[in-house]
Amino acid sequence: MTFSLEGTDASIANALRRVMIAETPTVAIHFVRIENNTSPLNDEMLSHRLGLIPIVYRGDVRQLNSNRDCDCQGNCARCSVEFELHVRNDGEDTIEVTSHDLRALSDMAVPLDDETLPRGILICKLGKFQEIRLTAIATKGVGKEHAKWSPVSTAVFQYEPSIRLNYRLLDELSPQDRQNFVGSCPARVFEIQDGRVVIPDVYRCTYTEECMRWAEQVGKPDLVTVKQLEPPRFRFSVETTGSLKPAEIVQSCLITIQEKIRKIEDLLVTKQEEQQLPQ
Amino acid sequence: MDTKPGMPFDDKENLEGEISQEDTWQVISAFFEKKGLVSQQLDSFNDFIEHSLHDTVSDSSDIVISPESQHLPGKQMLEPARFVVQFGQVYISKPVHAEESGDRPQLFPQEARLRNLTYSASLYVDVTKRTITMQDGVESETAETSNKVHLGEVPIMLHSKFCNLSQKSPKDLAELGECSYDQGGYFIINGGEKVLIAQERMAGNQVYVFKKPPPSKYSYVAEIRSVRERGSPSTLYVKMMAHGARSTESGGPPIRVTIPYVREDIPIVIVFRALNFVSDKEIIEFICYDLQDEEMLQLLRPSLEEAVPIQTRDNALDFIAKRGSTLGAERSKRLQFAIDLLQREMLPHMGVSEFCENKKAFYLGYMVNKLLRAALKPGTLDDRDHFANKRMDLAGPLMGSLFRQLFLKLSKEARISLQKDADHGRDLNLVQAIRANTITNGLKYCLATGNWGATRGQPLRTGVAQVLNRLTFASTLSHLRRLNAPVGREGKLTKPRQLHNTHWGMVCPSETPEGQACGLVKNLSLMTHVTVGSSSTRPLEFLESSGMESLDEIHPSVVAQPGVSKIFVNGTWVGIHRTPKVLVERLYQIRRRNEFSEEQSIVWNFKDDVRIFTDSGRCCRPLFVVKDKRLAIRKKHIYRLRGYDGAWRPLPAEQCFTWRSMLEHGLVEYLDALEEEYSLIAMTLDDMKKCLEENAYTDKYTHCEIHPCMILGVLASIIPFPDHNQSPRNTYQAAMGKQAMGVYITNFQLRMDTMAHVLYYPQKPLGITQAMRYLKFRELPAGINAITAVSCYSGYNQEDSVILNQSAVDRGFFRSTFFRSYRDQEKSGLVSEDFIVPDPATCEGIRRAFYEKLDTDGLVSPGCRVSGDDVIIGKTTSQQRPEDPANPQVRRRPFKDSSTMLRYSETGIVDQVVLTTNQDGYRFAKVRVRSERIPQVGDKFSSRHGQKGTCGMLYRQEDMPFTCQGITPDLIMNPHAIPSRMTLGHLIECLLSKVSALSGVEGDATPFTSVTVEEISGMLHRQGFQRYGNEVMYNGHTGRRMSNQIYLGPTFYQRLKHMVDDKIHSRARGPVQNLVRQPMEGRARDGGLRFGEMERDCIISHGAASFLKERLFEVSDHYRVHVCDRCGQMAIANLKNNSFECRQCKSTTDVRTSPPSPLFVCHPSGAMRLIISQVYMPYACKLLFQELMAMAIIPRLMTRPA
Repeated sequence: MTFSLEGTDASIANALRRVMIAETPTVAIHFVRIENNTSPLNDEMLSHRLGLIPIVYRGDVRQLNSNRDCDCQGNCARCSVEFELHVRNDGEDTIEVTSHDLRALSDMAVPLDDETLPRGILICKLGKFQEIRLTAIATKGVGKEHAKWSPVSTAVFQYEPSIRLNYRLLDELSPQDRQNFVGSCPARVFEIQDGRVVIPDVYRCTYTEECMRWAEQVGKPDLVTVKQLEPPRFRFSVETTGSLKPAEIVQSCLITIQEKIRKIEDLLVTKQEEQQLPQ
Repeated sequence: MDTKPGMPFDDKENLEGEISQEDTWQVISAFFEKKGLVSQQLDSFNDFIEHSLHDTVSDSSDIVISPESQHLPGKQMLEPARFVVQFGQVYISKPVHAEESGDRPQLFPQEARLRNLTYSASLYVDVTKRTITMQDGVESETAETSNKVHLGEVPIMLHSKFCNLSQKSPKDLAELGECSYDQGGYFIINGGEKVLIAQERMAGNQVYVFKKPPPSKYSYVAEIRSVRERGSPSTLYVKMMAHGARSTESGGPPIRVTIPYVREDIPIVIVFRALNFVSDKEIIEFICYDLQDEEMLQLLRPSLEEAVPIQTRDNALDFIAKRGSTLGAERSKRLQFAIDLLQREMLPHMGVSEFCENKKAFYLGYMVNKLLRAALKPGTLDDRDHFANKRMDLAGPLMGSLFRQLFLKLSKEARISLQKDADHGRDLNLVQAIRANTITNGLKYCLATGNWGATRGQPLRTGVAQVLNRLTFASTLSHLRRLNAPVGREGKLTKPRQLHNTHWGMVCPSETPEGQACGLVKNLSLMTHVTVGSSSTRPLEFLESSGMESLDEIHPSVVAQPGVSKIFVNGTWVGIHRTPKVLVERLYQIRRRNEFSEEQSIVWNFKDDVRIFTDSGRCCRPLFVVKDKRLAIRKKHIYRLRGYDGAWRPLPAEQCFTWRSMLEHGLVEYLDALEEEYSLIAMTLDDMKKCLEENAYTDKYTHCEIHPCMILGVLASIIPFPDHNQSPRNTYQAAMGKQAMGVYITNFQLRMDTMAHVLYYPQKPLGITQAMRYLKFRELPAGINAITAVSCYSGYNQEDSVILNQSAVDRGFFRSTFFRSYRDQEKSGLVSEDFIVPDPATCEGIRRAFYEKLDTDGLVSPGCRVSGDDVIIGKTTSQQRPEDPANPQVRRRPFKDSSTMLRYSETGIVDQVVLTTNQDGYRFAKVRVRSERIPQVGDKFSSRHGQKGTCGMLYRQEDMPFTCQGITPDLIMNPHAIPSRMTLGHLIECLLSKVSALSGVEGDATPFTSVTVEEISGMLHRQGFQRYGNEVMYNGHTGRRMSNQIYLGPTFYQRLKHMVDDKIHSRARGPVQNLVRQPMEGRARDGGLRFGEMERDCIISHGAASFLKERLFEVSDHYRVHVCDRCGQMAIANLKNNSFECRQCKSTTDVRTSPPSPLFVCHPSGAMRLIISQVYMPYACKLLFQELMAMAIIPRLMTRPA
């Protein structure tokens, strides 16, 4: 998903990015009870691989209790989702254990099932007579604690560049040089349409400044200037691991920021009250 | 159909065409397919079993026994008979294991490793006993043969011809629990893998002329270490005295010879006279050949003058004999002694039979000639470090010499035993006399300890057998290809350590350790072949049939004739030839048809020397043969190598080319270091093409390199672009590559190595070298392609540290497992041991540890989490004497605890437990504990360019810098690591890997190819990235664009085995040493941190005396003693009831009368007043005083109140 952000500065944009990566709660497998594991992978590695499988929670993740703060003993439906995995290879050929074999014990959550991954996410391969039997408990968490809870694979923003071409100088260039100028940019920001250099999409620009370097080399330093747009405008792109939808992430992230601000507000209010009290 | 390269159909022209650079890789692949990487070990060992073993036994002299007449009361004297015991045919079995039960099942290596057995095969020998009896003066003989008497067990090299694994398919190997990538080349002794390190030595039978520096008596010395094909060496020196040291009448220095067993140096002319060449003219002809050579004659003159008094052969012999060990013998005996000496001990390689005088005179003359020529023209001296003068003793010769020694010992023992039998009139018991244990244990001992040599007392060679390094696959390979030069490590001499020109292509220029062994321990280059050696009879026969004139047929003056060449075979001068060029051409032809042996080297110095070598231990390497300015190999050969004919039709298997057929067709051949000297080798195929052009630099090439990157060894071949690095960096990487984690072998789950590291998600590098194909580095890699940014970023990567991405680590980046195995066995004998949970009721010495994790069988169960000081193997030892007779009231419990505990400071999960029986039939357990190692601050990482660093900080993804695509680096290295170290290869690797990651094609980082940075950056530009790998990045904390672009791309990083968790250590108090009561040393014993001399100096300079006393005394071995003030010696103090006694001056305090203070007390009798002082001193000091007292020195402590 891409969206643009205007009327603010880098601090807010970066806060959005950071919160999306690190503080958006999701559900991921956190406890694994291994009953039998005769696979080639050891228990620690198997558990680690299970933890990294994105879990799609059907309800609102934010409503789920954190396992640590939940008033239950161990775990309960309010703070966790249980999964079961039991695969045994009785055939001759090696089989694959994938996220599809992971069976949820409640219908609140499922492991990621995506059409781009028809075979699911590979957990382990089993040889003849090898077996894995385990139960896994997924809990809520944030990317800050462990990257498995981070819902995004990419969350990044770009500063919109402002590229100013000096058409007077450009016209002085020979067609070959113009072609070279266009070719100097690895990101192909410039194109030639009807003999004129145009910029089809400014966001292609990655600020490599190769065009400016080229211009300097040919002795026309004013040919082109690349700067960040002032006031800045950002274009965000958010890709998810599949545990949440991009829009949900942005939404959730905004809520988190709101909560943070509210917390500061509350603190400020209490502080103010404290200061006013003695008077 | 599989993909076929390039051309659809090739016409005649093309089939005869030149090969391309890519085609050379086909040739190299063929080489490695045939030979693998440890062929030197395997070939050498095969030769030992197939030849040396049999030769040793068949060459052994018969054991002849005649009973000594003895007086045995009551026994009748037997007819005196002679017995002759002769060893015959030797048989060797497949590796077997002799079980306690008497079974001898076939043994496979994995079982040997797990059960701590020795992987060895049985040796049997036919022994014939001939009994010769005298009856009525007529000898009658009866022979009796015992078939297949057990001679001993010989450890078998894995994957050799005699190993149970030879010729097994990868699938079979997997079923036997072996790794299909493991190439063998080592032994298994008591469950441990042992490699024999090749030992470098000077080649024998070669004359070396050296100049001696002034303080020496001699100016020039020609020396030879003469060795017969089977026999002990004998060294001979021909020395020229230094000028002025002892001049003769004509003023020049004479020449002397050092002969073995002769105390004094003998004038050279006397030796010639003793060889029955009496006249001066004859002698001069042997030495100078040409009587016109005035200069040389002048130089020889003083020697002739020196020998004037001795003119006859007998006088000369007597002269020599008098200086030998013939004290008091009469003249005839002396003469015989001298004759024997010259026959047997002087230059034995020229022959030890009678009538070899002529040959020896020729050789001696040749030596003097060489010496004189060196004296006349100082440029002709020999180079001790020339690689042609070196021979490598591999597993075969090493085992061979050891076996010979042991076999001699065995037959000596057998002789004693048989003699006893005969003396006692018993039947000769052959089976009992031949003690198989001599050989079994002798071989096992040497391989287990590495101390080579069976004879006692003689200085042994140590470190010949080493424990095979199993840290990473490359380190194993490298260990199997190691060379060691047994030169004193302390010596300041730098010459033998330096890389010599002749090492080119034979020895890796980069891979050598740093420090003491630098340059002495070397590694073979990838394509080096070490000759196995063959007999010289076939080349000799050939020479005789092709116009060689033997030394006995010629007059010395012939040698000086123009065009005549001396012919040497393995250093022995066998004759002369008048048309050496023709001869050498024919020899080349024979070699290129591979009629005798491809290993033979033929060297003609274009003048007067033809040398042929067939001996073992020469290093040689394959090269393309050049014929008529073109390579002998053509395109058509490449097709056949690939298994196709010229029209891409598959060929039947027998027509396909292999490495062997390449040798047989004379397309490639092996050159050793000496032959290389007289060859002109083109470096590249392009050089070959150039020589066809006009005004070419040269067109006289004789050979062409297959590929220059083959000069590198195993670990240097893993470095991408080593030709762009500063050379020591490659050496550092070669050392570090051995510490990298990876998958060290595919059967690691089945093995119980004492220590092992396995990387979780190893990746094959994006920038590969072609040589990695043969090293299996892509199959068993040791590292991860980390996205690396070169930036300071917050400064937590200063001084060779790196910043890691915590989120990447969370996702499994550089995680690894560490395995450690513990083992123990139940012994029995005087005491018996049992695996059991020790019971405090019956067991003594139970330690403060957690015993509850043990199962009823006394072993922990798999899956159990264990931590420091948990008991993992419970074992009790029975006490020999439960009751102490001296102290009967103290009842001792019947058992003692001797359990194994997990190492202090380690934790993990029990991975596997093995309970079995070992070689001696004892119960035997191994426990493997596993622990997951997640990268953390302090762990060590390195790229492949000697750029190591520890982790200084872990930043989460959101704190890492990011690009506009949202890419965050896995690792940030500091730019300051680059300029001073000049590891440009690092940067080029990153650039290439970036292109490779984007395009999905493996990047070729092979050295000495035509890839340029410009080409790579062009490709990167086309992929839409900045040419030189720089990217605009944004600060993760603030979101602001960083003012400089960052060099970003994938770089192959290694995780090294040094991790903080294994090093972290602190102690406040803890165990002390028994003797001095100072804190223990080392982390493993929870020891203290040493406050050393330099720290002491520092505190002294601060004047912090109190602190100094605390460090050195109070927190170390603080101790209190009571000193008798009268005699100044330590007194006995009983502080509980305040009684003191000085045994030395017989004074005591009385408890009743003593005042509360123990000091200044009167003895009740009044006779002796004991005055006691309490003194604090280090325990070590008290110990010193007591030790001094033990040596009858009394240190007296005279005290005075402060």
